[in-house]
Amino acid sequence: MSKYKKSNSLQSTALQCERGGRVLFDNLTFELHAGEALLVQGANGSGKTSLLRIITGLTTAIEGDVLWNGRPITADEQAYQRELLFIGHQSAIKQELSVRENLRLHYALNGCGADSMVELAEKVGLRQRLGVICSRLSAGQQRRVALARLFLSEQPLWVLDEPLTALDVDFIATIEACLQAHLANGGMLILTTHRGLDLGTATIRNLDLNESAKK
Amino acid sequence: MRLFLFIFKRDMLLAIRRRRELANPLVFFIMVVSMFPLGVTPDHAFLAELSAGVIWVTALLAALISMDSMFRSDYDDGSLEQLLLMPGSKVVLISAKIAAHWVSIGLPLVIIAPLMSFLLFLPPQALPSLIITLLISTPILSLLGAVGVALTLSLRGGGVLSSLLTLPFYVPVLIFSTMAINAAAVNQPVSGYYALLAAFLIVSILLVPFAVVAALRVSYN
Amino acid sequence: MFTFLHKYASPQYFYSWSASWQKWASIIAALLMSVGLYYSLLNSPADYQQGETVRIMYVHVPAAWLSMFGYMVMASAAIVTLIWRIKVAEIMIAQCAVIGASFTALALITGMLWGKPMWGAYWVWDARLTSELVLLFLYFGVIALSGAFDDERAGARAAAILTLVGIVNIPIIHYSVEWWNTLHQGPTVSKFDSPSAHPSMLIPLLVMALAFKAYFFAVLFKRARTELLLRERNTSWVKALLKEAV
Repeated sequence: MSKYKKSNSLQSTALQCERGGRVLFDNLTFELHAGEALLVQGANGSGKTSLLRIITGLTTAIEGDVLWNGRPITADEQAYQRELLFIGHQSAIKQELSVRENLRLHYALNGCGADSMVELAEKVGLRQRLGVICSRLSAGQQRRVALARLFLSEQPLWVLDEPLTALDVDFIATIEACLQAHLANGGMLILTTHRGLDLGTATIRNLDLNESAKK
Repeated sequence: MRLFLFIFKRDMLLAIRRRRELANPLVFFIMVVSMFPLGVTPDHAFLAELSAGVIWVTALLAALISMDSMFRSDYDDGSLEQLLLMPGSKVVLISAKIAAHWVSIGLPLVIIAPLMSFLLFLPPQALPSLIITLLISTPILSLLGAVGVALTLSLRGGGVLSSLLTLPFYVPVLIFSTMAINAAAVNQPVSGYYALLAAFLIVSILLVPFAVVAALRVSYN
Repeated sequence: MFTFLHKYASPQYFYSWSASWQKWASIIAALLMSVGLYYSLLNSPADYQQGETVRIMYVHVPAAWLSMFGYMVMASAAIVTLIWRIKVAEIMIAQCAVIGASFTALALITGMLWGKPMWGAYWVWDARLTSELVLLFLYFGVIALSGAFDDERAGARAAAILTLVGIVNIPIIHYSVEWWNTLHQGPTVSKFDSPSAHPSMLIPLLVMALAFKAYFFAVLFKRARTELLLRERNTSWVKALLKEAV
């Protein structure tokens, strides 16, 4: 059963990005449809983060556009942002706030969410720690707080930058299951990761930035 | 409006959790003001003449050193990205952040200003105008400061550079405010100065958030 | 409009057409400068009040005008940068800032030299000098900001935003300083602005002003072309150009 529209698509016209006079990538194109995952690979400094920022619309490419359902994402920025969930390299967790308060911000960022807060905390294994201030949590636990947004998400397009950093084996399995369910629902996934990830039967496309830089 | 309130509440909550840091600009304000009698002269008449300028320049510096906190921690931990990716008006978002910053930094400066006027023998009839000018102008300081901070967010050591960028823009605020206070001290009419400051404030409220949004885009380049 | 702009502003195309512009601007600047200097220094009357010191005005006033003009050119480049992302405009911003700052400094120095015999001190908090000083600070800000980014294009965009915020602020700063000055300053010689509008003085002044503007563009093109070669050094057209030169 698919939760999201089958017709959703994300593609790009030849993207170009340079940094300090050095071309990171040029003529970069990709294409992604409902239920598919795009794995972005490349060495450090190959422009992975820049590419993700261009895809999210935080910044624009020097040349080329990202198209959501055939229309440039800049044409209706807010409509696109309603379809998009981005979790960046940094956790975006406020250290001064408790787990509960951070989760409450997640609800606000996502607009809605089916789970109650306790259920959500249960899913990420932090139920006992709802009242704890986040600066007292370990790096892995903070990452869990950040990734809790995945379980709330109603957005079809997920863009994840190194989501698995600092996670333990058990929780990686939980996240894999969550990603598989998302793809099975007709969701779309773009991610960078240094470690292998089991995405089940979904179609996986690869985008290697090292190759496109050589061109 | 819902977005404005959400961001405003979030930032106020964070400010309350960091209340120790909030005291720093205030302590700085008091300390610098008390250096002047030590460095110049404790003479009553001389200090009274100097007081409006000294209080204002010091308030300017106190506001300036606290500007960096407006976006810094949100930028460093990635939450600014998340806020910018929320569906909703970026201009409203930025306005809310600036408003929260003013309430947590600018407003306390206004509140302790009477104490400063007491230390520097500001003529009592000028006290209301000191408070009113600070009340109208400190939001302008926060607004203009936001541009400098947003432009230098991605730079190492951006704090000092952002002060350099912002200070020239503070010139009219400083001039109009101190002129108003000095006019009040000799019982001259002051409403014209207030009107000018208010006009400057309105223009800043209308234009600055757009500049900040553009500046943040550069910082995320 | 867009395609037109893109064609003429592409780095390679700009490099070829700007060569003759730079040449002509230099020639005009040299001609006007020699005529202007002759009239202003040798062949114009001394002022009845200021005596021979008035001749400083023929450098000071055009420099002060140019300091404003330079900011306006910079703001135009800033608008083009933000809307069309044109590389040449991006380069222009920082170059305008350097030249503009130099002329602002020149206006300040000549103003001080003029002030010594007239006011008896090199520095007086005169409205015009103070405005120029703040303008110099604004230029410094643009220069510092555009140089602070690792990525030159980001630096240019940041500088463009700062420039435009500045252009809204400059009139406000200017009037506030002027107003502040009338309130604080006692009676001083206030004929700083324009030597009396007698043609024998006005004409050399205008010639000098035009000479300065031509010089501004000559230097701007020269600097922009050099910077462009430096930034585009890895592109095929620059490599071809270098091969030709060797």
